[in-house]
Amino acid sequence: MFEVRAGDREALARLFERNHGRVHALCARLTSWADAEDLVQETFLRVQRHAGTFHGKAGFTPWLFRIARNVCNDRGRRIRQTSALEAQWARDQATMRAAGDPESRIDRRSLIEDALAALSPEDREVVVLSRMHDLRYADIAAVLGCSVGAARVRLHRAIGRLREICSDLEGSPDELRNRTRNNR
Amino acid sequence: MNCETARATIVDDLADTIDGDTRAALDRHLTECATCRVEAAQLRSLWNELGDLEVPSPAAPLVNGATFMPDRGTARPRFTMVAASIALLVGIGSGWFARGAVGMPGDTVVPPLASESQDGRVPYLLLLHGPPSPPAGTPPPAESAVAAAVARYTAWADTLRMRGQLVVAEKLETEGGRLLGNLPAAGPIESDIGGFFVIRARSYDEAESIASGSPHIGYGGTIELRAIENTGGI
Repeated sequence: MFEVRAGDREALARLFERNHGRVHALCARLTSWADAEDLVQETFLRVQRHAGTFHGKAGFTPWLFRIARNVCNDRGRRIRQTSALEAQWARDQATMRAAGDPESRIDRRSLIEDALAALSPEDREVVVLSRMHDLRYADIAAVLGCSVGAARVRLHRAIGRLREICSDLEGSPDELRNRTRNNR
Repeated sequence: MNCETARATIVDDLADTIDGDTRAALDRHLTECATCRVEAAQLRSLWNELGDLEVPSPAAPLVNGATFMPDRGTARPRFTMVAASIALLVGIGSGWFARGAVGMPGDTVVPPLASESQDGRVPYLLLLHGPPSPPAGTPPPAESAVAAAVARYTAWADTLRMRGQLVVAEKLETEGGRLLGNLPAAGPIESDIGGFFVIRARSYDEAESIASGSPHIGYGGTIELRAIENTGGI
């Protein structure tokens, strides 16, 4: 990263190659899979432009993810919930991947996917950062720009809401569509 | 520890770390409280299920062709499928390889090609195959995409040169190649070799490590790595 700060283009290319996958994963969960590729590109443009602001204090990953999160926010796409079509697509993907699995397992994975998509953006991002990117509270706080205690509270609250949604979906297969529609 | 604290601690245990005393207190509570044991099992199950979800990743063609185009103050760069169009670099000149060629002013004088250098490094040939030509009808890549690709090859060649690892690098003409000699059918060459590098390394492993840093792989190409045998002169 310090080579990038010094203007080393090759170092920037290496940084991109090593990290674009996880930035893509984050952007896809915070916005949509269709938007993620553009957002990854924008994120690394900002990395290049603002490399001088990296001092290593909070670690590289929180710094990078904070930029990616800001990019997602600035694009104004973060407020959008996963559409019914994307949810269906995700379900289809899960079904194909799980070919041969017991049907109940496929359904369960789809349900978790749908529940995650139905969370509010604020709740979803903290779950994604914690569970899917293995960030600890301190790192989540650095990404979100809040205190460690606030990050912890947000995750607890988000997990609670995720459980509620899972419970709803288990009781009503149409709940997601209704919930998504109501959140738009 | 009461039930409310226990439930919060279960999440902390999943998402972060808890100290030994807190864990012991949680374990004691779970031993005594059946309701919280169920709660803990459900939370752990949900946590595991979240971990089993697919990690969104770029589509396969984009993984192979993924490139980042640094901002040069021109048009906004894009995450582009350069892999399918890198073949169209043909005709834009030989700048990206020629800069790495032997004999450029300021270059280090390199030893004879097949001999071992004083530091024990021997030459390896990197043949750059592909990437496959884009399907007919594929629109040509944007100029900015081509320029970015050229810049990446150039930067890589420059890096090798600065490290003293580069002997020579050239791009081959794509038209006009000929087969000579005792061949089943002489005629236009059907070859996907677009260029070559000769580098110096201490072993195949080191050569492979160097070659792996080439942008060519990222653009969907293949690199054939061969040691150049020291025959003592043919």
